[in-house]
Amino acid sequence: MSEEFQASRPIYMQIADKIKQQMIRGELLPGNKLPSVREMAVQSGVNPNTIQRTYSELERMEIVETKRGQGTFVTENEGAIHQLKLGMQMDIIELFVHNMKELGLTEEEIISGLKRYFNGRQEIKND
Amino acid sequence: MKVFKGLIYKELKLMKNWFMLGLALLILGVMIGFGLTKYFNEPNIFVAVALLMVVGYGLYLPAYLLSSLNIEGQTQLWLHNPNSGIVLFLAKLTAGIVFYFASFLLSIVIAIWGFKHGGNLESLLQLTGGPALNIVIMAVGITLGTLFLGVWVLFYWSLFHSLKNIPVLSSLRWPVVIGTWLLFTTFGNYVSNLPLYQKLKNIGVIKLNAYSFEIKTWNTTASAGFVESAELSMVNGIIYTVLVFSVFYAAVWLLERKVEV
Amino acid sequence: MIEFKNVSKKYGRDIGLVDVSFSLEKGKIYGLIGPNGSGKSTTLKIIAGLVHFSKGTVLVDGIPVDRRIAKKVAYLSELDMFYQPFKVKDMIDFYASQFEDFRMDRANELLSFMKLDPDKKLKQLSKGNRGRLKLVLAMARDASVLLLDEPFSGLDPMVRDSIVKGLLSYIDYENQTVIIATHEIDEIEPLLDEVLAVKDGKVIDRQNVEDLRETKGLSVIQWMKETFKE
Repeated sequence: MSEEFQASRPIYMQIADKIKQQMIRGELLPGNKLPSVREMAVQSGVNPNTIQRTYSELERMEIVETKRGQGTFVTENEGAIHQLKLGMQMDIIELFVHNMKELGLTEEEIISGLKRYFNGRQEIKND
Repeated sequence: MKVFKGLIYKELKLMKNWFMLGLALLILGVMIGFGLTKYFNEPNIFVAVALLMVVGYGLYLPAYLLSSLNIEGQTQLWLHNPNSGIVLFLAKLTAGIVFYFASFLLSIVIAIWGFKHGGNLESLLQLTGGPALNIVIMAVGITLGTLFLGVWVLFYWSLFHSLKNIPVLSSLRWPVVIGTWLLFTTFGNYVSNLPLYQKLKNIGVIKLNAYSFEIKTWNTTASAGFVESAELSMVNGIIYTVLVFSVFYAAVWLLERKVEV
Repeated sequence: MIEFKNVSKKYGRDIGLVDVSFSLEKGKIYGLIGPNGSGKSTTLKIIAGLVHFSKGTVLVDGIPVDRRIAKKVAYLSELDMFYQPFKVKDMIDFYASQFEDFRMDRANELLSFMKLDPDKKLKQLSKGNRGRLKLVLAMARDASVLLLDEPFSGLDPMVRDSIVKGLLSYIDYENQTVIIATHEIDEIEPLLDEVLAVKDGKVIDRQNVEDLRETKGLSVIQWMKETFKE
């Protein structure tokens, strides 16, 4: 089938995440039209009701707007997108920091670890 | 009308090969008739074979319906249909009759040709009214007969496929169908021998002196004809008509409520 | 809208269904899952009016079912059987003549979507293409109920994909009730609103697919393994 979904999370959330990532990466710009529910369902091989739920969820988060008879659009409010970006970053950082702390690392150790990681990657690239 | 037409087209397409097979058998019969005639140098054999084939058409419609229904019994394509069972069955009967007439008329033409080119007609047949009239009456009789049997086939097929529904009987479907047939036959014989029925039958009788005939060939005698029905009974006609309609509606009733394939 | 009230069906000594009750809403896609011979097919045939039950009531849009419920119900049989001498277009024409709600324009769209040649004889079609044709015939109708009995069985992934896409493109997801009976659940899980687990002629469990993930963190396959193990 067209897409694989993780077993443990609702499909509507996984699709919402994918759309949010597209917004953050700038593949979906403010004011852009999202595919119709039907198109999205066919593209991703997913029940249209699930897509409907994804869109409602994004609407509830105020990052998309549904215009009657026209479809669903990415919000023109760039602040909201920015917030989304910060929010998603924060989520990932929190998860990362939480995992590192589980390993018993201190804040300094985490930061120097990150630096080492990026420098190492830099050296590999420069080779 | 669109529904009926659609069903007829489907039926004709579905059973075209069966029709062709029937024609092939007819031609084969003609060839055998010719062969025997030449071999034994006895022209009457051909007439006998041709007549036997004409009479054999009494079984055409039942055989047709059995093969057609047998195909439908293997899928849900026919029963998954919003239209009434009357229409479904009538379309089958109509298509069957179209094929029947096409094939039957050909066999009659062959038989008439056989008569004309046969041996000594007078020694062959004792009939009054000439061959044409006799053949027409015979054809009408055979057609009515094949229709009558055809409608019974609809009923027995429906009965057979209805028995799946009844858990106790589902493994005894053949015995039940045969038993039903025996029951009806016995009952029919009983009724037709009742004095009352005999009396009823004699109301409105049209006497037809013609058309019982015997075919005498060199060493065989084949009797074909309607010795008993050499008289037409109006009441009999009405009884049979009522019977055919009742059997048809019984078949439709089963088809709508009980049949599973 | 489909309602089963205390429906039982016996096949000789075999069990068909035992005292089954459930109701299905319009605008949803249901999966009927369970091992072979569990009663999935029987359930679909009952809704289509092709099998007569011994006890209980079955209603489609409030109407008790019999054979003529075919007016409202489109049924895709699990059997790989057709009228042998027919061409693809003969089959389409036949359906168009029998069902008032058959949409010729949609049938033609579906044929080209499924890459089926109308002039091909049915016996020359591959099994996959016959599977596609069955779906075309069922989906070209504006029926309020769409029943698909094992629409994927024995078909390769390409065909399955085209069938899923065809389904998603053409169902009326606000008004139709769609029921898919299958034992191959993995690929159609994202299609479903709800799953009903059928075993030994009974509906032993029923779940909303998304709720299952949200509350139990289970996909349908994982849930199935738990439900069907004794």
